Amino acid sequence: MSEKKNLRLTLKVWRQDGPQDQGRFETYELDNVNPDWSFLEMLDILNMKLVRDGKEPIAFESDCREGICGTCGFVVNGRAHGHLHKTTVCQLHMRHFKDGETIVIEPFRATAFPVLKDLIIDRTAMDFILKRGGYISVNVGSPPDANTIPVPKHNADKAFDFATCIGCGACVAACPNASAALFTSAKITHLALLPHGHPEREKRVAEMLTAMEEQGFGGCSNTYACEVECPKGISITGIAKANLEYWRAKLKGH
Amino acid sequence: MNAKPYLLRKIISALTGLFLIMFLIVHLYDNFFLLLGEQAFNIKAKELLNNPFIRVVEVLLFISLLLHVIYGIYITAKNKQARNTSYKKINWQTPFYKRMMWLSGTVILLFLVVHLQSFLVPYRITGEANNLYQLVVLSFKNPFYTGFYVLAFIFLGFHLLHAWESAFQTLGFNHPVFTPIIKIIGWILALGITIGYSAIAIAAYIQL
Amino acid sequence: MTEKLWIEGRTLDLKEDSRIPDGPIEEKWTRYKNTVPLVSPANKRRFTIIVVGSGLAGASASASLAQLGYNVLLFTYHDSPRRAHSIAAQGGINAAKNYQNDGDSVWRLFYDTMKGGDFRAREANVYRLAEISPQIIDYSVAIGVPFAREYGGLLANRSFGGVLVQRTFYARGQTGQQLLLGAISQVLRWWNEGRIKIFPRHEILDVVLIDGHAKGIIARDLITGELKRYAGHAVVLATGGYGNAYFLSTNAVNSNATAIWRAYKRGAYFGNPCFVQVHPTALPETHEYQSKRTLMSESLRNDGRVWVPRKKGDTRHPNEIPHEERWYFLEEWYPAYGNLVPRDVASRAIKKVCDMGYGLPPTGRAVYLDLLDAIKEQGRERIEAKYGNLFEMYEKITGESPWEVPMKIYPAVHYTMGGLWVSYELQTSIPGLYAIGEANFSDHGANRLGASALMQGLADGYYILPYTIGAYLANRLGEKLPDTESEEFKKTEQEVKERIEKLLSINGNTPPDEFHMKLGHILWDKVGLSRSKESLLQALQEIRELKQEFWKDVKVVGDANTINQELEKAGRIADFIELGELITIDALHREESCGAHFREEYQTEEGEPLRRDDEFAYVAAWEYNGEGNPPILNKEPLKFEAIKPTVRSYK
Repeated sequence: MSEKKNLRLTLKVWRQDGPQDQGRFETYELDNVNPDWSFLEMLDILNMKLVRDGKEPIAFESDCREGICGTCGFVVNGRAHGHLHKTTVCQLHMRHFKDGETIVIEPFRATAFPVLKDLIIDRTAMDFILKRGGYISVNVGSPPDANTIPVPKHNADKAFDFATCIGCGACVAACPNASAALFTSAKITHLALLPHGHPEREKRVAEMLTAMEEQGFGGCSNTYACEVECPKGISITGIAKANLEYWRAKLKGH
Repeated sequence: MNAKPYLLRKIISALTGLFLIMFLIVHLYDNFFLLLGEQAFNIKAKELLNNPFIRVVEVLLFISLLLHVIYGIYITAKNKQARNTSYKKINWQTPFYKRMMWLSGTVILLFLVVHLQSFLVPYRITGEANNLYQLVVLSFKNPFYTGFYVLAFIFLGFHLLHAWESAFQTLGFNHPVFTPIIKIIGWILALGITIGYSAIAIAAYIQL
Repeated sequence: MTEKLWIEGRTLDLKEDSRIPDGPIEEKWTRYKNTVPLVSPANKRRFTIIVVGSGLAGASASASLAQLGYNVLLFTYHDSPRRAHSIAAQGGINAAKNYQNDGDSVWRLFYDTMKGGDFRAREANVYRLAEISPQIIDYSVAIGVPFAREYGGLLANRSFGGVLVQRTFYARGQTGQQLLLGAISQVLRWWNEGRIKIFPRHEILDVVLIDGHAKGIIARDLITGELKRYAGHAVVLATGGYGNAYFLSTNAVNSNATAIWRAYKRGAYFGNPCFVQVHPTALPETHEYQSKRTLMSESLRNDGRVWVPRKKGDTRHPNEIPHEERWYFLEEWYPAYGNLVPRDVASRAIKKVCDMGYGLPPTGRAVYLDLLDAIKEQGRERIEAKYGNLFEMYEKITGESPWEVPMKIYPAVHYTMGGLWVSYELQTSIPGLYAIGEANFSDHGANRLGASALMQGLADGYYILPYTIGAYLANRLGEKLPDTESEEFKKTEQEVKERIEKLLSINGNTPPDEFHMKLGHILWDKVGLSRSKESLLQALQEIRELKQEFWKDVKVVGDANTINQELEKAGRIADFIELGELITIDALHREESCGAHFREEYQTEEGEPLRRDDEFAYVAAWEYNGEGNPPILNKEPLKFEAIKPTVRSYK
């Protein structure tokens, strides 16, 4: 690993002081980028340099740095989370970049995601969707034994594939319509595939899709750009499934 | 806030779109009569004119078209509203035509205006023209007219390529076995419509 | 150092202080529930409870309390409660269901946990935890957690380190994520119902005490920088562990100890701070600017074999080294448990072979975790189903494929068994202040077994706290919500403000991160996997010097009225430095080896830890004694009524 050559990179980073600020690109030169650094570690190092020079560091968010919490995310060279398939930007390593490359970094953009500072955006709108039905209304207490209702392995596995969504917002960022259809449908589909989720399925889909609209996300026009950028590989078949759930609910009068 | 799920907009677009695709196929079939000569074509035209069923469908067709256009505009406006800031550098991972439905739709709409203006209005409304065959052949003799016609159908082809597959997704149909087949049908449909209509127009331009 | 490092305090009373109920161990919790005072539904609506942290413990507690009817104010520094670091837990959650018919029981889970913790946990708590564990699975399934299942549609299990049964439930390698999203879904549900208010991007900087009771918090709005006062009838801290004091750990980069440290400085006892778990299977360090260590789930040790080349400094490709030239040291040293020995044992063994010079080049601080044999035996498909996402993650980070080359691992700080001291009721020594989940010290003794953290967080939140908090609130019927304009609130806010201003005014030369790295190096080298009096005394001195340097030379750019991540970091690091000092003092005072705490002076001839029950069978409950004064050592004796501590052996 250590015999790889260090990189020289030019970074063009979006800087914006606050929601009202116009924002602009600033250019930074970095020598000696170790290919084993992660993308965020590279920004950490750049930030330490900026701090030492008395400049404001680039504000960006991250937490687990294992690709599971969904906190990090911005657009690298025009791709949400960068070009690597099924990878969050915290798991993107510098070995995937070329020496001398110029890297353009922008925040996720959408009407529903206002920029707070530099690369930090407000994604609360996503929680406002989940709030409207992304759950099963069962009380803590004495639900039946876990093995009372068998769930076919196939369904449980598929439910997991949708439940694995980390809610990072890349799907919204990558969508020409800034739609949250992939995110919303992932939750609807996860719960629709399990028998435990059935009692509330009609209400859930109707409410959550309405909430998505209210939060200012666009509609899905089936371009499937989201699926390509999703770091967890959530499939757009979930959107079809959620649509079906919706028509089903409509037929039942919801 | 009185928001309605986007699916309600999409389903109108999808259903009217599917209906319009049906029309496109029937219309293409009728167009082939042009190749059979003046008499055959004009008889077919009169036949259609006198068929009460066709007249009813025609009304539905216009309503569908109208809804399809209105909802197309509505959907586009809503979607643009949701993306109020654009990226300075973006590398879309989705084919251009899927993002350009509003553009292909606008071109097709423009074409329709010209198309109806040159055929439907003189033949059916003002009654200036009695021989539809002559009217059509004459129009296609104009290279600009034929050129625009072919261009419009290329746009229509791209429109259909996305529309067909997308309509099924909107209706909630996505299946590991059938969806790939639907996609293939989409390609056949898009190519068939574009090549079919264009070929007849070009044939008319060259030799009829 | 000749000065006194600590002052002997009092011995805690098991009934008065620890609130352990009477009766045989199997009946304690039932008896407690039967006799705890209840608050009527109408009165619950009049109480407001502040919950800090939205991980498994905080989220489950919020949901459960809201369901009972309390008003809950939930605070998190994340942009969404969904992001708490419980989400990164990979392997699974234990429960005494005995679905596999392999002899599991509540008693066995209790005993395994006690033994795993090297008999330094409170019996009554651990038994209660084991007793509650099956309900957690029932509830999680009911709210839609997609656990792994068998073809027949029933739940699947796997085994974990330190046990001989299969009692771990899992959702691929993302069990924490699924359980957290499940608990959060309930939080959202009650938010939608108006019973929970969520305050995202709010960091808690102090606890407000009125007449000695916790009655509120001071929070900083991380967007506007504004300091805000919030009042509640009780405050629950669910802020996780303090592993990030070591800089490099498997914790999230923002995980911090500020809330519990502020609580400590307001009078809450800190229990066993030196019990810090080092996880054996994390990815090795590859460069000096690494921001974290990534965990590879312990579940890999189910099928993976840990080895080093028998020849020191062997530079051959691992696949070219024949089996007989490989040293499977865990299997050799611990034939009964083999690769599945508990975490502390595995970590120490790995360190030992590396210290002996067998570590893998180039750093000498890595060993192989090899699944190639298992892939050959079981086929790619079965391994893929169990560990697919872990393999993917490994390849992303290292650029090497575990399908072709054995993984390299090295221990990393992972979990802190220590934390705020709490009674059986999960109440700290400050009335009205509760600590749940990793933030408290309670159930894991000196070492935590795999898949037990999720169990404890959810047990505390869903099932224990909602009962025990009633005992406190039932005596306060009719009590008004404290006034945030009161002197106590204003004074605490002023103190917080002054501290922020001080951090901003130093304007030295060194970014906060560099202090953090330095602290991490001191702690890891001298208060890490193995400790000695000498190393600890040296660490103490270095930490004290670092503290002075920090307050002289830290450089915090920007101001306090906007998003300022440097300021956030600086405050957290200042607390970590002070906590580091307490960790060191605790390690110094505990002159025995137990669990994760290995004192080189106290080992058997075979190099196994030597526990000294006669002198150290107690919980060290440290009490703050003012700035610059040595802390007070209070002791809660550990009474073993149900079981007898034995020499922990996994051979």
